[in-house]
Order: sequence, then C-alpha cells, then structure tokens
Amino acid sequence: MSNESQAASDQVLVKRVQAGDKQAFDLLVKQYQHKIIGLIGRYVYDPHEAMDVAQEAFIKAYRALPGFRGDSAFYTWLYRIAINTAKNHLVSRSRRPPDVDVDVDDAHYIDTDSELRDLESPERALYRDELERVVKTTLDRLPEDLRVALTLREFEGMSYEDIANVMDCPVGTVRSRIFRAREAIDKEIAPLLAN
Amino acid sequence: MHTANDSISALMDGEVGEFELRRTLEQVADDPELAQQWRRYHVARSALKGEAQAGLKVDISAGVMSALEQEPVYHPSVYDREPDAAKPQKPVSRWWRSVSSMAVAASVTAVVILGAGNFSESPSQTPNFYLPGSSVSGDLMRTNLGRSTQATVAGYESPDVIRLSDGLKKYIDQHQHLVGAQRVPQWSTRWMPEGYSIVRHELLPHGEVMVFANGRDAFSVSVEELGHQSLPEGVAQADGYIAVGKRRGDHFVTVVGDVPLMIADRIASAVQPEQ
Repeated sequence: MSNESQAASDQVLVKRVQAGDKQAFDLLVKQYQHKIIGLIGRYVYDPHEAMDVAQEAFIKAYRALPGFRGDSAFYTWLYRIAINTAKNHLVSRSRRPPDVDVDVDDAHYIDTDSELRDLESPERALYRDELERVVKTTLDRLPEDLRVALTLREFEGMSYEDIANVMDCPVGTVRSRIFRAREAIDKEIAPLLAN
Repeated sequence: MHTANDSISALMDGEVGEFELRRTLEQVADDPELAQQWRRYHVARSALKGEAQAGLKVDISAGVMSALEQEPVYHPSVYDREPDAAKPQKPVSRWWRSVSSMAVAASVTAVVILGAGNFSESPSQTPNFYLPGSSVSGDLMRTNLGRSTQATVAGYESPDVIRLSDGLKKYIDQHQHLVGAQRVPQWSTRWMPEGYSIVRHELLPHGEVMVFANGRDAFSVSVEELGHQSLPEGVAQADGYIAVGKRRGDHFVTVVGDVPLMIADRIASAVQPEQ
C-alpha cells in the first residue's frame, strides 16, 4: 500500500479525533499498536515495560494531537513520539539510550545485526512466521478476482477507482472483492490472534 | 447499503465518505468485535507485506483509552472551521472588543455597587425601586427584608426589595476586594512565546489575570480557584480566538488569545504558583 493512501486513511481518523471523536483514536491505537510496540521493543527490552512505554506514547500522541496539522504522515509523527518516549524512559531509569535511531522508513526492515537489538524471542519469531505463512497461503488460495483486487490495493496502493479501471468492473465490485478477500484472511488468522 | 465489516475494510483504504465514516465509528463503538476486526485487518496487512513484528497478539488499546477517559475531548469548532481569510483579525478591533467588554463589566459593577449603596440607606429613608416588568429576569429575586424598604415593579407593589442573585454576588466580592487589603501576585508562567512580555497583572477576588503582548498580538492567562471558572477543561474557538482551559491542582488556568492551540496549551501548562 502506498504511503499516500495510508496517510489519507489516517488523516480521516485524525480529523475525527480532532473534531472530538475519541473512538477514532481507539482505531488509530488498534491500527498502530503492534508497530509501535515493536519499535519501542528495540529500545526497551522488557516486553511488559515496552507495552507500558507504548501506552504512554499513545497518550502523549493524543494530548499532542491538536497540534498535528498533517504536515507529515501520522505514522511518522507517531513514530517520533514513540522514539522520544522510549528514550526518555531509558534516561529516567538511568539507562543510556542507543546512539543509533531507527529511521522511520526503515523501521519495519531493521537489520537484526544493528546496534539496536531485535528482541524477538524464538517463540515470537515462530509465531510471526506462522502468521505470515497463513496470510500468504490464504491469499494464494483466494479466487483470482479477489486476490487481484487485494493485491493491487495492498502492494500497488491503487485506489478503488483505478482498480476498477484495471479490472474493468464497477467500483462497488472492487470494494466488495477487497472486503471478501480480507474476510477470508481474517477468518484464518482470528484464532491465531485470539488471546 | 454496506455492512459494518465492509465499511471498516473501506475505511482502511480511505475510501469512505464523511457520513459512512461517522456511522462506522458509531458501529465500532457499539460492537467491540468490529474494533477487533479492524485490528486484525491491520495485522493481516502487515503480515501480507512481511512487516509483522513482535506484539501482534498484544492489545493495549483498552488501557490507552481507559487512561484517556479523563482527557478533554477536543472541541469540534476548533477543527471544523476553516481559516477565514475574508475576516482578518485586526489588533485594533481585538483591543476594542476587550475594552468594550471591560466597559460592560464595569457598568454592571457600577450598577451593582450603586444598588448595594441603596441597601445601606438609613431606615428613615424609604426608597422605591421602579422597574419595568419586562426587565425582571431570573437573575433578580424578590425577598422580604422588612417593612422599611419597598419596591414597585410595573404597577405591582409589595414590601419586597430586589436582592442580588448568586450570579451577581461575584461583583460584590470584586468590590470588597477592590476596597480591601492589597495582595501580591501569586501566579506566573514559566514559559511564553518569544517576543511577548507581561503588560498587565490584575488581582481578582478569586484569582488573577495576566496579559501578555508582543506589540501586535496579545493573550491573557486567567488563574481562578476551582469552581469559579466559566468553562470545563478543553479547548474552544470563537471570534478568531483560541481558549484553552486546564486544571492546575485546585486552580483552573484559562489561556485566551490569537495564538496557535499548541502554544496556548503550552502556556497553560507553564503556569505555576510563585515560589
């Protein structure tokens, strides 16, 4: 998915929060929490501590949201808050923050040999691999029209209108195909994500 | 008609209109499973692109939202209004509005003080208050203070006088304060935007007001005892001004001015008692 379309989607929710709708912020938390926890986990090694710091970062983000004007993508902005919160946490615990930051664009692909530790336990790594395997297998098994619609959306970042042009079908059909594809994947991963 | 699940899928892609967005958010608020589905859709998106990380099973959103329960809800008017280029805010008009507001307040105060003076007339004098019936508002209450004073209200006579309601009691407090003992400022701000300096510091019965200006724009900071403020915590915008209200211990800080919201919020956070 392109950064532009992701940013546009985020901006819709951000504006709702700024307009007084706290529920929209809940969706932003649910959307980004795993990325933020993963990011903070590279600074704060204890998983429980990392979750507390992630929670603090989201609270700070909510408080600072009135000042967010959309000059940068919401995730970039949130990412900076999370990094600063993690560093401040380390300083407050008299621990030195790492000298090297994760660049926001590389946050998802950080090399495990980096000075910033990737603290995934073997169990978690296996779990993540299993999840990715299930998602990709389910995608491969989808009917072609669903698979193509979702692929164009997620990997090419195309709008529904563009996908409709490529697939020569109405926009409503594209929307329905993408939804059905997601439903099929969700059905498979829901048990894996259940607590 | 789209289903709620279909709508959250489209919302992920930024493909919903304003009406559908609002409806979807309402449905998500009513149905926790929809919110979980939203979370799983995003996890699936990350996994699909090989971006899945640690913490996939963790859901801290309930803790975050619980912690935010006490946070102010942002006032819609601040963001719903687009900047109005057709109505530039001129310093002169702002200052005039301030002056006119003060003049109105002063007039009310004068009336109240004069009225209060009448109450202290000697018993031998029997003043009559002639008030048009239409001007008797809910703020004015009739009470019996004895036979020596009489009020006449548009043809209605009774041995009553007009008593000031609690809403006007503050002006009596103000009068007592003005003629009473001198106080020294108790509050200051640790931070203000560059170029601003304090130009006034007024001590009021239940608080203080500081005015800061940079020669072109101005903002004011009010510190009141809790319970005396006019607004709850939060943000509002009116007539081109931002107003931010915050609790500071047992006091309430309000910052008003033509400054960005973030700046107003920072000023409010920087207000502290004098050491």
